[in-house]
Amino acid sequence: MANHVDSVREPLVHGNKNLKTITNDVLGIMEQKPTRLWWAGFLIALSALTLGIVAVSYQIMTGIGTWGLNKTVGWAFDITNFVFWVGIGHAGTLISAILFLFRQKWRTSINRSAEAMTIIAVMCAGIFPIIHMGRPWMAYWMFPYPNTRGPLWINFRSPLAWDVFAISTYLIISAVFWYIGMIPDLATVRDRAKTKIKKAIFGFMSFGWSGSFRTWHRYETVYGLLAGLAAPLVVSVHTIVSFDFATSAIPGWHTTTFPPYFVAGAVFSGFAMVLTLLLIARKAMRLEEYITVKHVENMTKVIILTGGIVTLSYATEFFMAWYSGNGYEQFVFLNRAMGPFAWAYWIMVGCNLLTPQFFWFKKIRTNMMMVFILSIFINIGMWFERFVIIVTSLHRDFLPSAWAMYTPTYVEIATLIGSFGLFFTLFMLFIRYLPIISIGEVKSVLQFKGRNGSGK
Amino acid sequence: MNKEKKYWMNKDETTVGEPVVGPADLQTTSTEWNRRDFLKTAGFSLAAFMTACSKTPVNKAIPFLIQPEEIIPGKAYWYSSTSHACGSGCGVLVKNRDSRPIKLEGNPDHPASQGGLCPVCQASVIELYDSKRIYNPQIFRQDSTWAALDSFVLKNLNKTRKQGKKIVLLTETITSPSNKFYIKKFLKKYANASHVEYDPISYSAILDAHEVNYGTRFLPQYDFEKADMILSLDADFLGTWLSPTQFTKDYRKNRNLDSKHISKHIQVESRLSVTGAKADERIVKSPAEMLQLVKDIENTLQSNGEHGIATKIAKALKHYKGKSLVISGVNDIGIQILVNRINKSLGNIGKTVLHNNPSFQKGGSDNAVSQLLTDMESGNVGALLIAGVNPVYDLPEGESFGEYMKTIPTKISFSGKQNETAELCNVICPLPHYLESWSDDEFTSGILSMTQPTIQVLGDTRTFRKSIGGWTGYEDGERNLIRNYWKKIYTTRKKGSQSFNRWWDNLVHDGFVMIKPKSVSVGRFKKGQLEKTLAKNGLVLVAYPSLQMLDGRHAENPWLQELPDPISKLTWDNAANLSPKKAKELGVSQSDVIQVKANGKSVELPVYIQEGQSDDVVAVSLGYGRKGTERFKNLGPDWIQKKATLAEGELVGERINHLLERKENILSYSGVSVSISKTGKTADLALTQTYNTLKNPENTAPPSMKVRPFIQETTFEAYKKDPSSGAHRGHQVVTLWRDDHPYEKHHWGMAIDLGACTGCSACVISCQVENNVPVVGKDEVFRRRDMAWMRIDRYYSGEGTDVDVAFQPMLCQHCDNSPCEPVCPVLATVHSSEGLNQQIYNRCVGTRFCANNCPYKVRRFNWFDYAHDDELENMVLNPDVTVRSRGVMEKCSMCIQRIQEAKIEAKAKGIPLADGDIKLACQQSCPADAITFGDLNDPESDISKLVEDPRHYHVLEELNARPTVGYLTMVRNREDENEGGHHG
Repeated sequence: MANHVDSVREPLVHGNKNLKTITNDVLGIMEQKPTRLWWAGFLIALSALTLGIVAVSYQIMTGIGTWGLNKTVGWAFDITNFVFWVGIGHAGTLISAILFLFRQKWRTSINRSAEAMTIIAVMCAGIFPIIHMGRPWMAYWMFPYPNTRGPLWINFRSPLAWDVFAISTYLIISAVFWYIGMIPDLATVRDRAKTKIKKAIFGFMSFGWSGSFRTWHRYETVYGLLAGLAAPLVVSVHTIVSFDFATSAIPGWHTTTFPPYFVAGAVFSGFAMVLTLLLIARKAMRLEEYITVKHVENMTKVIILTGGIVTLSYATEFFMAWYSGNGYEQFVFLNRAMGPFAWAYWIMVGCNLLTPQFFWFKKIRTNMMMVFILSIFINIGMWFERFVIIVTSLHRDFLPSAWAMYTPTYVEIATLIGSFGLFFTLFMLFIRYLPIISIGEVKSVLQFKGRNGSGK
Repeated sequence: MNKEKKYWMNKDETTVGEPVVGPADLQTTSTEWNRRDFLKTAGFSLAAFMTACSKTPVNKAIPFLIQPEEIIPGKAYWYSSTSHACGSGCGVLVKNRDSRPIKLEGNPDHPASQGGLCPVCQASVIELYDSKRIYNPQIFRQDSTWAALDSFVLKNLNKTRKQGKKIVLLTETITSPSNKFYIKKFLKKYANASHVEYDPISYSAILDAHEVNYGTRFLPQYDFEKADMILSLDADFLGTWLSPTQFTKDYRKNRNLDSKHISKHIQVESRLSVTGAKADERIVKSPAEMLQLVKDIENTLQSNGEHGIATKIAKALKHYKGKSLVISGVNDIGIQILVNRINKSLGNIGKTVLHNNPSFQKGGSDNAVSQLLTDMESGNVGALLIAGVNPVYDLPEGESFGEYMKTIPTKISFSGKQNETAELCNVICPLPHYLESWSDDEFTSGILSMTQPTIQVLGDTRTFRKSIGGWTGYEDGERNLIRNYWKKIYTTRKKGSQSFNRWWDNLVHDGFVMIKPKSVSVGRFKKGQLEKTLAKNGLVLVAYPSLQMLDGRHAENPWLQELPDPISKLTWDNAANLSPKKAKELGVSQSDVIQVKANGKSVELPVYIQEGQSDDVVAVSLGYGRKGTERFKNLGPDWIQKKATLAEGELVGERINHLLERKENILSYSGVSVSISKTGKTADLALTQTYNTLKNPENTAPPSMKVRPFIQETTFEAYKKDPSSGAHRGHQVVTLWRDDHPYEKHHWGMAIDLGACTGCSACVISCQVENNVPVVGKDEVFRRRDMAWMRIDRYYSGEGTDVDVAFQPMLCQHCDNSPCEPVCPVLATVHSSEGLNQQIYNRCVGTRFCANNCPYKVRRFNWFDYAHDDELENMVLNPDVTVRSRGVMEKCSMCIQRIQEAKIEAKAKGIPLADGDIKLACQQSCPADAITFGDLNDPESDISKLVEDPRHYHVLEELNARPTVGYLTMVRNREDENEGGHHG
């Protein structure tokens, strides 16, 4: 890793940090008692999670009928939530893997938490394909393994089977990547641990990290390789998720532009979620000096770009519907904009097209409160994007006799809240019990005021 | 049904196998525990725990110690019998499995059903297993014995006789000759007794008009097959009127497109009926306008006056002199006299209107009922015996009837179920279901139909015949009461020279026998006086029997309650149908609850906006608001956001009979002036279809597709010129894939003739019975989660009252490139080597991707575990078809069990499967023969020929899913400028 930062550039970390203060700042969070703010956040998240657990248990005991689905609309909140959460995850991988490969140094103070967010989001996402099944206790049938039922294999032609591979691969690689990256910091925790138990636990978790030159060398090689492995996942996972729709026969789903459109949307929503989370963490954990305004600005710029791609995708869809001359296709898009679910469509357009435009203004993108609010709008908009794609395409497809409306039930709403509960509960636990900022990497981007005014 | 299939019969009364369980054994829900129960259960639990291999407790399983000859477990046996579900008397074949009837099919040889069967009759099989039937004789509400009941009744009847008070026997139309005989004996024994017949849906005016015109009260037989020109004045003859299955069969025969000529059907009506939907021309007239129209037609026929549309109709009728048929379903003697005059002047008598062998299906008299009411009011009636009818519900004076009943000391009800009238009676003689009883019926003169038991009687019940016979000294078995009667008189009526035993065996085996018709003495035609009828203008009520409920006698049948009305698609309710214009005028919209007031009485009903209906009419179906339907309160899956099917104390729908009035004693179903007021309430209407046309909504219609091209339609004239007229062309399906799925043996296919389909929904119920499709309850239907594998899509085209209706039965299309198959992650839906798309329930994990990807939306998901708690009711389940558990997808299987059965049978015989050996449930039941099924690989099969027919098309052909279910262009016999083309 390069260890020189041009002094003309704005420093990536503020507050005249040195190696010691960084370690103290980051690990201090773990060593002190949690703040009241943390407790408040954690308990709210835990309550939401409990609500979700109750809702899902009830649904599994009673049946999918406890959701508002019907014979025409077979998916709604379930798959919307799934795609939403998978999408959220993408920013983390993009920051930690792709920006790493591109040597974007500003990523160092946010990559750990962004990656944690990825893993948690993928966990949230992974729940939905399981609970949306009519018989979730048979979910293991989705995996191809030699069995005594014939053996009966899965249908390798089904995009849902591809999903299984895509999501499980994503979860495994992200988790490994995240964990490997954390080992040096875990070793630091071990070294500072005051109790025996803590020492033992972190000793185990840090795999006997010695901090020697050789260890660092191998570590960085592995990290680089894993980054290389994870990078294509940013593109592939959401591409495969988009196949759930793109390979179908339903107008509004059967769209070849879906893979790039979904990937852009995923990064778009992911960055919005990273912003939401980090702006909270920054405030709650007093990390303003590490997660600086510059980080926030950079992320808003990514949002402007991906938001643009998303806008272009919406326009392309409309254009293609018109250009194809296919009446069913044209109908679906007119129905989205002017049909019974037009409100959802316009929420989506409002949030996803208009919101990013505010980030063109420096005043807005450096105002943390404004960025926070706008990032939430994008989160809402991206949730609605998936809702619009899924529900409006299904509710009025080919045969008018089957056209139906969809209204969510309390159980579905509680499940959505529950998934946020799970997400924030795990995230709160993460920022409390693990080093939230990559200590080793941040140290590497410090500007040291050496005796000669240059690097060390 | 192929000809080789053996029909079985009961030679004596007890050969049908012993029931494995009886209703008394099935009281599993009882919560009362006594010491013995506890000890038994404790012992049993212990045993179960010890062996750890127990199943549900066996109540009373009696193995066949000696296997009855010719009975093979797992094989169905068929008995021929006769349906008593609606009174039209269709011959049925009863499918028996393990000594229990599970399915009814029309007897193809029977002249009335001709193989078809209406939805009501098909559904009636579940009523046999109704655990809420009355299973024991009751005196003063207490279970009793027949001996006690008989002595009680005889004592009271004698007392009444001594008091000199009247004994009145109030029944529906008696069609059984033996019943008539025993009633005659009964009336003879009790000299002060009289017999009053009425039909809950009255046809009295037709009979009375014949009395005026011909001197005898009778109902002629109508021959729709011979009618080239049909003018129906509010007679829903394809849906509910008189004998719809028979009429549909006959009607269809004269609409064969291969012939040079097909019949023309003009329907004049004030509401939209299935018959109107099918008509070539449909004229909407309010009841007042209708009367004027009939008068004008009659005038024009006599004097060639000029009356606009009436002249046009009269001309058309004249053109088909002797080959036309005019009928009216209006229970108004004036209209019926006019109809008689028109038929007479057209020379239709003896050709399409048959007097020689009249119909005995309906014989009730409204006059007699009015007389009875007067008698009851004056307190002259000392004993009332009520059989087969429910006057407290049926009659407009029901409430008063109930009041008068309170003053009658002896009230005897013959009823299989509790109802409004039975609960006011002090004696209830429970009737068996017709599938467990003997009967002989002459519904139509010259056809003697036989009803035989197909199961051991479930309760301690007996027929009306046995009770009345017993009370008049004819103590004998159920069968012998009939057999002995016929033994005496058969020589006078039999055709041919068979011995009695042979004749009787044939009768029981075939289900019917042709006998010498009983003619009526038809007098010379008299023109008759027309009453000065005051036609009411303004908003009037039109009460009509709905296709599912008829007069309401099947209100406790869950299948029929959940069967969507073919026109409105409404389930679990009746509604006030208003035309869109009228609704706008009144400022009400769909689902608003309004109060309909007439004659100082009122009813609250939800509004349903009905296209194609007269603006001056509120049409409401009869048969709802029956007592007993409160049983459906908790029907449907239980979960937190469930809305109960019924509120506390509520019944399914609303009774409207009390709003009706009599005109000169004749019950009038149309023409009561009503006023409407808003209540501010709204109701949930459980509709199975909410978007009613193929037109895209105005604001979201793309310019390239205003109307969806799923219905092809043309006129007969255009069809004769070009058989492919009306077809949508331009979908050239090109594929890169090679045909790598050869179907080497069979390739099953189906074609549905939209020209034939009347929307009657017989197929829907048939499919439900055959395939164990669950009933889900009102809330689930409202949430659009009905489970029917086969639905009938109904699309309107046109504006205002002038709408055309197209029916399109929609079921799994068994696509060769099924969109559902590749998307299933666990291979739970796959293609068979015979071209069927199959669903494997036990592999399904329930991702619902297949349903989402189905362009036809025919897949049904088990959202919950649907109730199968009623063990008695479960006896109706078809053992050949899996009962699906929750969380799995299901859909039409093309009755795979029937295909397999036929294949196995052919294999056992060592002969190839012949075309027509397999009849699917929907196909078999169809009274219009609209459905053809067969092997596409057999070039000689009917289906292969239909696929080559220029009328044949596939819905959504351009998707290249390659469905094997196709449709045939609808052909209407009308003059139309723009020939064929899009439906819209």
